[in-house]
Amino acid sequence: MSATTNNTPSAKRQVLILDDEPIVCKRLKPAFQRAGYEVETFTEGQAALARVEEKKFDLIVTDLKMEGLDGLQFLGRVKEVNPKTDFIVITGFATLETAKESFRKGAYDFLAKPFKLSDLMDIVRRLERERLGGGTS
Amino acid sequence: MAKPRRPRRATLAEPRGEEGIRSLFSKFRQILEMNNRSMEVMADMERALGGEYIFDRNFLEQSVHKLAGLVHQAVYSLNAMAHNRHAGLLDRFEEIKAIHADILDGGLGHQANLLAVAFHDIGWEMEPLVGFELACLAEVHRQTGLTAPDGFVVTVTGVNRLAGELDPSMAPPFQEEGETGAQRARPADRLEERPVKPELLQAVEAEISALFRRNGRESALTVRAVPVGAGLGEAAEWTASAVIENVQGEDIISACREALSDLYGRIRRNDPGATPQAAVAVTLTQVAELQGMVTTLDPARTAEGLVLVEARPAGSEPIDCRERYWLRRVEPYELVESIICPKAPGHPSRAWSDRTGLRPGSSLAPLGLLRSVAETALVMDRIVGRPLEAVWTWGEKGTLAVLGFRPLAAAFADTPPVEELDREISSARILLRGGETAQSGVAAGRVIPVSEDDNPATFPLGAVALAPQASPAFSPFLRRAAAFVSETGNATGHLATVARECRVPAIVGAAGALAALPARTEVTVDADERIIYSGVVESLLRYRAAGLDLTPADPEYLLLRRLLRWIIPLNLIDPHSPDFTPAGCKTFHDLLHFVHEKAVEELIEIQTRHKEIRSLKARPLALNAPLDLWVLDIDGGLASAAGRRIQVQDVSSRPLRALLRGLGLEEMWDNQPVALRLRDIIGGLDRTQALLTSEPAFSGRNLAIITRDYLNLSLRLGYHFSVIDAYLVESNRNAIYFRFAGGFADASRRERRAELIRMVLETLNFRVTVKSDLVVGKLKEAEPRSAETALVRLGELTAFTRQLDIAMRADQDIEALLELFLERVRAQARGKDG
Repeated sequence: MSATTNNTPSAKRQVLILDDEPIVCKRLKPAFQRAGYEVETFTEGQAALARVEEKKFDLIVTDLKMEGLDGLQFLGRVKEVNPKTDFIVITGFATLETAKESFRKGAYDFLAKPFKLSDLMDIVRRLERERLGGGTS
Repeated sequence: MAKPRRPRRATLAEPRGEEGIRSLFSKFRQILEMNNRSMEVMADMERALGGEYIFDRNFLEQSVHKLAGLVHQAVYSLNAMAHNRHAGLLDRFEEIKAIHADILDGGLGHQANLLAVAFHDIGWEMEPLVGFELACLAEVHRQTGLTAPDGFVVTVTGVNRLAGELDPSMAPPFQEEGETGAQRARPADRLEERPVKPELLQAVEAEISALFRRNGRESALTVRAVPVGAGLGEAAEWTASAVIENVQGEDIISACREALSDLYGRIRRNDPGATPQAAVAVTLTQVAELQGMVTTLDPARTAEGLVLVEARPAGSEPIDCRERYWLRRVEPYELVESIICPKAPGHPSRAWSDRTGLRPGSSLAPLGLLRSVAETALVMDRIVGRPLEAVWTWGEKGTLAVLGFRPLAAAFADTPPVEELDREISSARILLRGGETAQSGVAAGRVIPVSEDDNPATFPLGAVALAPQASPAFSPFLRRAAAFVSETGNATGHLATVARECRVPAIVGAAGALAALPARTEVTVDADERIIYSGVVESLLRYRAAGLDLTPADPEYLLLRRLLRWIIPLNLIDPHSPDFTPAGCKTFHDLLHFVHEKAVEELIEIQTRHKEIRSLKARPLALNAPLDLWVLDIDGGLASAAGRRIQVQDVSSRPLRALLRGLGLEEMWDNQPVALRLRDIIGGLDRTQALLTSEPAFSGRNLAIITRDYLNLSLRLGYHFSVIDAYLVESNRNAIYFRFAGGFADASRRERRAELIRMVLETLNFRVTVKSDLVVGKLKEAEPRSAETALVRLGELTAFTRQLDIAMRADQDIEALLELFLERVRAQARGKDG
């Protein structure tokens, strides 16, 4: 199975993590849970997309380079379904071009792997402050 | 048909003259650059072990690829400097690179052919050969010294040689409860007809002999087979064979086969199509008085966070009972509850009473043993990264041993009590916030302040070590601590590396820690968040116990450990050792170190190996000292306005400027003629003759080759020769090499001067070796200020010792002259201050 999901309705903020490396999902999940998120993780783009079509997520953390549907395609498709979903892109193939392209498609921020977990959570907190304060990225 | 031509190694174009020397320096700089960049990549990889970074397989592949490129360039540059004298290094580089590629491809790497291996030689990186459980037991024993029975492992390769790829269909059904060994079907008998491969027999016999030697006598052995391979992080798939005890050395192969058949049978019961890999553990049979299980987090009482210890009599104990004890997970592991069996009158039970207020009772296990069992299992829990259950025995000599373990099912992993955690954390008192994470994780325990003079053996196992700095001297404490906190230090130092090796949660550079953390009070260290709470935050401990960190159960962790095994360790330490050869290089770090040493050697010997230097246009330096010195500037070592005859103020080379400050001090030069006796003159004749017939480099002019930050100086003063090679920049990677030999006086006086020089060099923190009258001193990785001071002092020493050998007629002259030298240094400093 490529995903772990939970269908229980909840008032918590919803995050979807998409990375074809299970270790990344495994390590990010508890960090987001501890930050008060309801977390679903996926290792395949298509499965994640299917889930996005049936459930609204506040935040998506996605890898870029994956087999099948890659991160940028995924980002574009999700923005069509729900333009308000925020994206943080994480990638081991960080270049200026991929960063620019991510921002152009509407990503909130971009992190090159390997990254410190605390750096990612700092971005998440900044995003939350902006959204709660009505600011924009 | 034309005979195929043997491919030749490309020869490097060799620029001549000044251009050649410049090229040499350029290659040297390249090596330094490659070295620094490699160290950064290696540090990033090593730091990834600590759990602070999120990384994936791609990071490992990219890092290895990048590192290989840098090391290759360093090796190539050395050969360019040394006219391909170290061509063998390229071959060794390719071999190590191939090992990395094999590991990344999932192969067993260099150790694939290892048939049997002693426990003490096993580390995490051998997990594919011996399995997760045995690698972990060996690692725990190696890191902490906690008792595990001595023994060895027949590896996956050995097992495959033993039985071929054993067809699981040949294995017997799962052994039913109560079934005896004699009743069991033994299809292994069918295997026994297969001849044992002689190399396997030899390897196993060698390990048995070595084991008995370590044990001091021959002994009965215990054999059990364990599975090896993917999915072992999941408790559901965790299994092991029956334990076969009291096996004699000569029956070991047959016992191995029996254990393997049993294991395959158990696996087949769960998964009929499985084709498992396995290893076999062979240990000394333990004579046990008590035995049992320990569970580091009782699944039935997770909310309380308790260790469950079960004990029962072993072997021929007259009573049949199983007792259960619950202890806290935090040092000193207080007993919370116990269920003990009624004992028959006269039973030799151990009566104990506990200060916690629990009623005195009569239990099988004394409290001290229960605490030892709990702390041992909790150390394993920390190293494995998740709760586990382990089998323990307590021997008649009072020795505790862990025979095996398995991780608990990750039942809690998906349901961390986040709300409860938030509630408890928000009401917990924060004692300190800040510092750097050296190893992530959470641990609780009593704060024990430590100093470098403390004995690590007396540090309570499972306490929180609080140190003033992250000094390497505290490394032994990490082997016993639940967590480590230091007031200063950073996450790239040696101590941080040891914390990652031992997986001890560690915060370094936490300013104010000594004042904020009262000794002997309980605290909870959250190394991820860099927060220290007052008291034990149980929900935080339980949350982290769910195995959510990067742990050895993660394939990426083990892959990184395996790669690092061939990257980080520095085995080549002594350049004078016969093993200091390309073949002796076992890791990329070894290759880089070898390259650096040999590149420095090329520079040190530049004036003897590059004879063309003598024909280059060096310029004389006007010195206020009885010394003719010529200078060859390669790159930015002199002011552009310097004339044909260089003045001291023209010198912009930082190391030469420092040296000249000492060399130019008039009071250090003793210009009085030395009183020679007839014996001195006769004794010196052979050396005069040797000097006349010596290599031209030694009889040439005193020459300093310089750049802005480099100095290579060859000096002949009277009858002694010295070489100073120094690299001085604004970093901590400064290095100075100093060599001194020769003299006019007899051997004993020259040796006294050598001793004097050794003593002075050691005051400057040089590593010194003395052979007869040859003194070699090395100062490495020095701060700019101390390197500069050392060069000034070398200038003073050169002046001071010029003719001293003749004056050093008795051993007491050494101390007297050392004092005189130091007094002159002090007088000079006073003069400067005044």
